[in-house]
Amino acid sequence: MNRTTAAPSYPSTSWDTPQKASSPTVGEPIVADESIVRPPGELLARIRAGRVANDTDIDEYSPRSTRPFESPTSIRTPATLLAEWNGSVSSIEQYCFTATLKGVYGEGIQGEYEEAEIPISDVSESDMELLRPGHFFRLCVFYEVSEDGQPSRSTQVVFRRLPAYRQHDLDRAAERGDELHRGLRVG
Amino acid sequence: MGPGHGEAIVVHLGQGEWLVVDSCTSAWDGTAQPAPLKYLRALGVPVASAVKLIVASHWDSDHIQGIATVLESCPGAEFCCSTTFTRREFTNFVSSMSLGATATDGANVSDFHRVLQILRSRGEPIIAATPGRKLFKKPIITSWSPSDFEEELFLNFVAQQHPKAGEPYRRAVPGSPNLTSVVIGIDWDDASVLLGADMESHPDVRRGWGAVVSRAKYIGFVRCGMVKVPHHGSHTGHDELMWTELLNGRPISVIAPFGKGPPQSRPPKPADVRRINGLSSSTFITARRSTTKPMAKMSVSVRRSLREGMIRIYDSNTPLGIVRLRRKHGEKWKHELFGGAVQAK
Repeated sequence: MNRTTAAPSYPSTSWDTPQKASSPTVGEPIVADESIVRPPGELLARIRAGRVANDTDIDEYSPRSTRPFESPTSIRTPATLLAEWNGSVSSIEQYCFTATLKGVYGEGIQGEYEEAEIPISDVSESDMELLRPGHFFRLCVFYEVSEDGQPSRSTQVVFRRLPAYRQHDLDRAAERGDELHRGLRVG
Repeated sequence: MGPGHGEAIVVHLGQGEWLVVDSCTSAWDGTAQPAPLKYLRALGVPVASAVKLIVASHWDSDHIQGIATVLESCPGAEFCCSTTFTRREFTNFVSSMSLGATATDGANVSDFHRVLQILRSRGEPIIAATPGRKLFKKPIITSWSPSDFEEELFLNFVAQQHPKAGEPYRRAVPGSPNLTSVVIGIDWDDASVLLGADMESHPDVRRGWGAVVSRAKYIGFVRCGMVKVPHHGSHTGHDELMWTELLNGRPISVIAPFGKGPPQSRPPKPADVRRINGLSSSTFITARRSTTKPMAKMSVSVRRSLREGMIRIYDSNTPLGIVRLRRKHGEKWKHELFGGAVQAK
């Protein structure tokens, strides 16, 4: 997977707005609310007493932040697919492999046939055994915005694990091949 | 004609009879009408009865794209190909590779599979091309390859590529089939043409142009005044023996460029054209280099991502062009150029 970070941009977040005097500021350590802190050893005692099964208020024992809750997903966006090709490996060179691509999705891509040179370093270790002429893969381009608001794009090469040839099918194919051969007349 | 996707040749043999060598289309997926059929139909030729011989020079997608459709449309034609494709090993290979055809988009064997099925259903004999074999009487059409040695090597390759149980479905990749190309000579009373297919030079005299020339000299060969330059004019297709032993002093040369791969390495390169110009009285090229930039139609984000990921996308939709060479008995050849075709000399 190749990841590239786009030029920084600074979306408006609640961090930009002034905080109340009582609220912690960015960088300040989170302080536990002492009103809910139980004496040490109480949880252990409750566990020993078998009182914690299905105990839904057990997280009361964790230190609780007084900072207003902000879901990090309010900034992060899920990865958006910008482009996708179905590829087939044509040849393998020292640092890259060549492939024919058929556009599956994307502006100016869908339905188009292209050729490509793709760095072998983009192939994951687990897919490396599938990097062979004739094998199929998907090439995708994604766009996403990270938790800190940083937009980024990435390309991803994922080799497809198509169904495998089965001996039974190969045997039957060989019979059909023999039959085809017998039906041919060579002059 | 070519490249579009591949190259093809149509030859008027005389008396309204035609020869088709290979097939190409203007679309990658072969949905477009094969260029030889389109051309002949535009001329008003009744292809069903007028095409007398179809030659599949070798198993490479840029030479057989749409060949099954050509065969289907020309029931009056005989079919000629390398003996290799009629061998049990190859029919078994094609049959096995076709197992995953839906998932693998035909597995790159669908055209040949269809050809074999059509020929079986017709019951017509396949003409197996061998060095020195007469394929047609008037004009005399002779095949000059592939050699027996080359065929054995190709069958070994096919055996290695045969799918094995447990392997995922894949497309067949022909490897280097150029040396199994069927080279053809056509001899009229007063003119001869050499169609070099994708034949290449090889240091082993049992292979490539060395084998072709040695058989031609042994059997007897009429030197040709025109040549379809082998292997898209590339340096790997160049062999001095072909130029000195099989061709007249300075023949008319026609090059069908290769439409795939990195543009800078697609033959013919400028040096190839200069070399061929130096050996020819005239040189024609069926198409200019493509100027289309496939990434230009993509969104900026996608273009930047591909560039930053060092992924290069090449255009493979070079427009199809045609070089037409005609002559009347006793006259000189006259040329006409269509589409992106150019005269280089």
